[in-house]
Amino acid sequence: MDMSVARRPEIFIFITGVVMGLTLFGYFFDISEVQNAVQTFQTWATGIGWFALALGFLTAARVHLNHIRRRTPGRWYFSAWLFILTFIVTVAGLISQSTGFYKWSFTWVYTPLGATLYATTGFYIFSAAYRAFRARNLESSILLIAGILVMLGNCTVGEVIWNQIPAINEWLQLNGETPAMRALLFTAAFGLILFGIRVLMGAEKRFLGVVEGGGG
Amino acid sequence: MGEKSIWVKLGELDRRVLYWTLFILLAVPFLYPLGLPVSISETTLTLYNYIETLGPDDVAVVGIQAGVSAWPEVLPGLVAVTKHLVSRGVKIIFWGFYTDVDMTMNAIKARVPQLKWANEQVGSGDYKYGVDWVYIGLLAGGEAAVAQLADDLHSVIKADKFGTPADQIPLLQKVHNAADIALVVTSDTGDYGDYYIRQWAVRYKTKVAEVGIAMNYSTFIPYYNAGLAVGALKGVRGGAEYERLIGSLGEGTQRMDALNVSHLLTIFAVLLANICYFMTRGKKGGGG
Repeated sequence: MDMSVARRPEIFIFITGVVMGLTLFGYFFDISEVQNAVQTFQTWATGIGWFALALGFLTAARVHLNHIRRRTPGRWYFSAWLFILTFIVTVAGLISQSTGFYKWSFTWVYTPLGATLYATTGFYIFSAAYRAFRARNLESSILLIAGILVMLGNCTVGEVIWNQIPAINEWLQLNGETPAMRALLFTAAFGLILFGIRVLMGAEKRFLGVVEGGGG
Repeated sequence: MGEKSIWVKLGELDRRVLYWTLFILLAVPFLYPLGLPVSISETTLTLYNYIETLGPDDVAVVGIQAGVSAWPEVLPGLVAVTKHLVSRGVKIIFWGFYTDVDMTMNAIKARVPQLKWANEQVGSGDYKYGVDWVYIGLLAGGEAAVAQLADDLHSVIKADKFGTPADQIPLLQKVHNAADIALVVTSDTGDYGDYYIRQWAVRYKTKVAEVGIAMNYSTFIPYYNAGLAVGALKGVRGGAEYERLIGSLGEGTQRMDALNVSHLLTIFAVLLANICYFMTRGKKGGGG
């Protein structure tokens, strides 16, 4: 068999269309044959998810191996360091995940680094708020006032200043914010539906790596 | 060329001054705790009230989709809700879609001493592993996996974290799909709350609650208002509120002081920056 036939995008578009169509159909209609097929697809997708983790590692490994091989200035030693650490943590994890270096590295390296990274954003937000949050016009003034009220409502000192702050904050979040978030959610959902329709009709090929007018 | 006015100088304040000010002021509540009162939000109260209706015949899922970096915000809420579930005798299945889920599970277990591993001595009021609670570990597959868990739990979960087959775990024998689960508590920094809403709440009417970072509260509220979610905790404040509701003050309440200082300082800085802006607006060399 000519292998180029098996690589034709039409085959992948057809498979995607069948899987997508059945999954969509199964979400709304309770027909046992369709449900069984959808469940099989979902089980496969879960398995593929595990492969994606391995694929992610292999892709990262390829990128960093290239940096090491080419001695990319300013980068290759970080790539080498990544491989060294990956090797050490993998070996430590295979020996024991609840004791020794593996546990030590997670408890005293990974956890504090994660917390530090997250906490650091607070300083950037603080600095950015000082520089950018200006009441330049009516809209930005409303945003500024609403932002201050929500911030006061999110911390307990707001209710010490005025006992109605929590009520205002709750109203702003439950009623003021919901329409905007709903609009965003619906827009994204409709966009996803349109994307799905394009995939089903074979008009969307970018997920296969095929770029119209360009070399795939 | 004249010297810059005080307003211009303040408006152009070096960011290192801002960083140091925040850093120093954040240390104050550690030395002198403020201990301000916490009022209870509606979405926290509805979750609490719903768990109050559950009992030992019910099974809850705690889905951990937040990493270690989000602990300061989500862990107090996760711990408080877990304590409440334990106090009600609700059976709990823990799993997670975040690679460091083991760390979070260990952190919860360290703070809820009733949860006992299989090799630990079980006393009165303790949760026996496999019977009262179980830990599945890391799952993969995104929304497809969440959907499949709802349809057929056992097609995804073949064993627990320690490799014990699912058919040898009494608690897992009680549940087959989302209809057997009374509550899903999803702890997020991303989109998993949406997945549980779409695949569990809409299709199986399973109650879903969010215990995520404060930013996720905004995206989750439309679901709550639509009646698809039973409640939501707003980051560390939500955790502090829940601690108060269950009468077990902990890390959430402690961290509220830091939240108070940082928020107040940010508000003060924004107001100061705006005063500088208005004082120098239209003037040559002014900020803005």
